[in-house]
Amino acid sequence: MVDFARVQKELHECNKDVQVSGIKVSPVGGDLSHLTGSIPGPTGTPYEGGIFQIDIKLADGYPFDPPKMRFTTKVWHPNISSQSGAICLDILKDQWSPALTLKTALLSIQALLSSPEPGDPQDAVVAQQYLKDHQTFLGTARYWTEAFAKTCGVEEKVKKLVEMGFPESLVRSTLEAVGGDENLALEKLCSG
Amino acid sequence: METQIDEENVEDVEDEEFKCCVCLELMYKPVVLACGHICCFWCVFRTMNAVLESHCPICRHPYNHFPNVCRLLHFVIQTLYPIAYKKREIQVADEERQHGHSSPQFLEDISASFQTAQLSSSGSSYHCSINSSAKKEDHSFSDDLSQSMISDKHDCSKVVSEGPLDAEASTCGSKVVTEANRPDDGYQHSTPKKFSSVDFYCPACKNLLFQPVVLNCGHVHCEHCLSNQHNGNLKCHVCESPNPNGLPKICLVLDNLIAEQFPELHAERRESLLKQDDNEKGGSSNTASQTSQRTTKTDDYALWWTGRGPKVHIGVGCDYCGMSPIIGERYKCLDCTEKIGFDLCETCYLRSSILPGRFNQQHRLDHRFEIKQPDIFNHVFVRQEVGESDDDDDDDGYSSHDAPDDMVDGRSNTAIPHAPPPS
Repeated sequence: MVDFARVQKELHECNKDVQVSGIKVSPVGGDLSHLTGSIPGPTGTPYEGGIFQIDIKLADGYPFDPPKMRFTTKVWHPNISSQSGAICLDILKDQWSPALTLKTALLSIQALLSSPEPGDPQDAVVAQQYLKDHQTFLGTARYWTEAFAKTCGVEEKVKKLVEMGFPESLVRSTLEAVGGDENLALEKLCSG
Repeated sequence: METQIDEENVEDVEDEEFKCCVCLELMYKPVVLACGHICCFWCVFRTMNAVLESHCPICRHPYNHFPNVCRLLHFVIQTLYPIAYKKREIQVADEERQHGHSSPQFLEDISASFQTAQLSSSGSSYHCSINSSAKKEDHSFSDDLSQSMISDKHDCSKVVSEGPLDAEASTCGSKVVTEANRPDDGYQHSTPKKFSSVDFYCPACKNLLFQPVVLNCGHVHCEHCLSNQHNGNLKCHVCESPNPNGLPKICLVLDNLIAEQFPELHAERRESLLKQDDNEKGGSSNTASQTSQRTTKTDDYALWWTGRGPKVHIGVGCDYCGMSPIIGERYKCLDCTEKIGFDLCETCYLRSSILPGRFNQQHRLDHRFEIKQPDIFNHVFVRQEVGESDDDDDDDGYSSHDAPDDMVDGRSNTAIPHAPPPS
C-alpha cells in the first residue's frame, strides 16, 4: 500500500518552491500512484532550455521501495535509454532510501543530466558516441533537446504542418503520438 | 475544536527538526540510530532489512540492532507539540490495531512521570523495569506485565542487587531536587522555557547532557562519560544493558535543543570539559579509538552467505537488544501469544533479565523457550532472490518475524524452560 499521506505531503512541499527548483510533480488522473514530473535541463549542458517530462509510478511499497521513473521526453544521454526512456541511476534501484523524496529523486536525475556516467551506460550506443566522438554526442543531444524537450516549439511545429495542408487536430494528435518529433509526425501524416 | 487542532498541527509541521524523514510527519516514539539520526519507531522498523544489515535512511550508516525508543526525546516532542503528538498517537494506535502489532507503551502522562522518576532515583527506576517493579514504583508497562513482574520479584531482586546505582542514586536524587529548586510542574505551562535542566541530566555524570549519545537501549548519556569506559564493553548507566557496536554518534538534534534551552549551563559544561581534556591529554583520542572500534557483523553475513559461519535467522529480531536478524542461536518463546512472537538472541537469553519486548509483548519469566533453527527454505529462497528482495514492502517485512515458524520445520527442537539467571 502506497503511503498516500506522504505522497500528498511531498506534492505540497515540492510545488511550494517550484519557482526556485523548477521541478514540478503532478498526479496523472485521480490516483496518486501515477504521477508525472518535469525537470528543466541544467544550464551549461546540451540539455539547457529543455523541459523533460518524467513518468513516475509508485510501487506498493513506496516509500520503502523506489519509485519507478522513466523519461517520456526523448533524451540523448548515456544513462538514459534513447528508446524507452529508462534511467540508469543507483538511487532508483538498490541505493534508494525512504528519506529520499520524489523531488530529491528528480533533482538527482537533473544532476545525472549534467554529469553522465558513460562507464555504466543504459544506452550503449550513446555511451560509445559520448566516449569516442564527443562533439557528435553534444550535437545530437542538443538537437534532441531542441526537437523534443522544447515545449514552446510545439505551436510552431503545429503551425508548420497545418500550413502544409494537414488538419490541425490530426497534426496535434500525431505530434503527440510521436513524442513531438516534427519529421516523424510528417512521415506519419504522409503515410496516412 | 477540530479546526483548532488543525491549526496547531500546521504550525507544528513547520518545524523540520522533529519531522521524521520517512513519514514526513511529526516523529512519534522516536528511535535514535547509532549514527545519531532519528526516525519514528515504526518508520525505523519498516525501513529495516529483514535479510542483511540495515542502513540509516538518512546517512546509510549500517546497523544491525533495532534500538529502543528514546524516552527523553519522546518526552521532548510531547512537551513541545502536545496537540500534534496526541494526534499522532491516535493515528498510530489506529494503524497498530489494524496490523495487530503494538509499539512500546509508556505511561499516559509521561511528562509527569518523567521528572518524578528522574528526581527519585536519577533515572534508574523509570527506565528499568527491573528496578521499578522491585520498588513497586510507577512503571511504564501495562498492568498485566507489572503484575507478573511483581510476582516475579524474587527473581528480579537478584538482578537489582547487582545494580551499583541504587545506593548513590538516592543521594544524588536529593541533590538534584535542591539544585533545581523549582516547582515540579513548571514546564507544563506554556512558558517559553518548557523544560527543566533536570530533564536533561546525564545518568553517569549527573550534569547537564553535553554532546549526548543515545544508546541502543534508548538511554542518553554524554559522549564524554561513555568514552571513558576503556574496556570497550559499553554499558548503559541506567539499565546496565551492554551497547553493541561501540559508541554511537552524537545526537545533534538533542544537542542543539539542549544548547538552545540552557545556553549558560551548556557553555559552562563545554568549558569545564575543555579544561578536563587539557588536564588529561589524549581524552579526545580516546573517543576516536572508541568510535573506530565500531564494527558491524558484515563478516558474519559474508560467512553465512558462503554457507559457513553462524546461523542467521532471516526476518527475526531479538526482542531485548534488537539485533536483527538474529545471528547465532535463536530462542523463541512458546508462551507469548502476540502475533509478532517473542524471540531472543543467545546473549539476551543468557542474561535472562526481564524487559518488555520491542513490540510490547507480555513476556514473563516463567515462559518456556525453544531453540529454533533458521528456516532452510527461506534461506535458499533468499539466496536466490537476494538483490531483489532487500527491501521489505511494509511492516510485514519484519514480522515475517513469525512467518518462518508457520512453515513446517521438522527440526524445531524440544521445549526448554527458561534457564535461571546465572548467579
